[in-house]
Amino acid sequence: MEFDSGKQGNAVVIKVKGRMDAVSAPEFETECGNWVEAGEKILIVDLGGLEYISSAGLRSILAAAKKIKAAQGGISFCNLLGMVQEVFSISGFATMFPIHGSLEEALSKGEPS
Amino acid sequence: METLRLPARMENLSAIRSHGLEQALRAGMPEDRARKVALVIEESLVNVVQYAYPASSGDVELSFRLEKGLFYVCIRDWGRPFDPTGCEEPDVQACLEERELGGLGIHFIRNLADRFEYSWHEQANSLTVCFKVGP
Repeated sequence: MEFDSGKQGNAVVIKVKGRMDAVSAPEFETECGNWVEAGEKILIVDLGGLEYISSAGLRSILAAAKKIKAAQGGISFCNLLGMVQEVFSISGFATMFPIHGSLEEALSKGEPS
Repeated sequence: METLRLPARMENLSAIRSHGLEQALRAGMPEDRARKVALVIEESLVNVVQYAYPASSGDVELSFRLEKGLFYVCIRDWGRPFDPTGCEEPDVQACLEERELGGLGIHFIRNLADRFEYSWHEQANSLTVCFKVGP
């Protein structure tokens, strides 16, 4: 799994590529944790390059989201495709988090809840 | 259909999952559905490592068969008896603050596979999942 992260306006955009599985998932939590510790409050995660995710990936997302919420911040997701989208719906993550069709849309919504 | 037997360890996750994906594709499944087979195999392996061999080590075996348009995967291990079909469902409606980590692996197996059966046979855990090949 690879990340391409950077600030866009007042948000941090994290583009995730590859597979988020039981071996690689903790890297996502670390990536988000680093931004939160640096004082960032708005994270937008672009999953357009993610081809596979398992429950370990969702666990890592949930742990990161709880950390951001505790820091009075928020996280949102965009560009969910194929099996990633299905996994988000089956798990209830699609209703628990703000989900956007594109990065532009996610950026225009401002602060995620 | 090729059977695969390897030590049930996380370092073998990628090899085990790829093998399952390849068998599903070879059986004629479209790629997106074959990825769900790979997901179910990953979740099953994680359970074997965590619950069947919590303090010991041993093998996991994957065998496959194609029958009447259905693709079957049988996952066996020789660890402690563990029946994932009896596990409680996670609350997928909970909000972020109340949502608990974990429990989703079995939820995925239950929701993505068309059949999900467990048996304890000849001192082995045997989990069978099956998927429709065609649309």
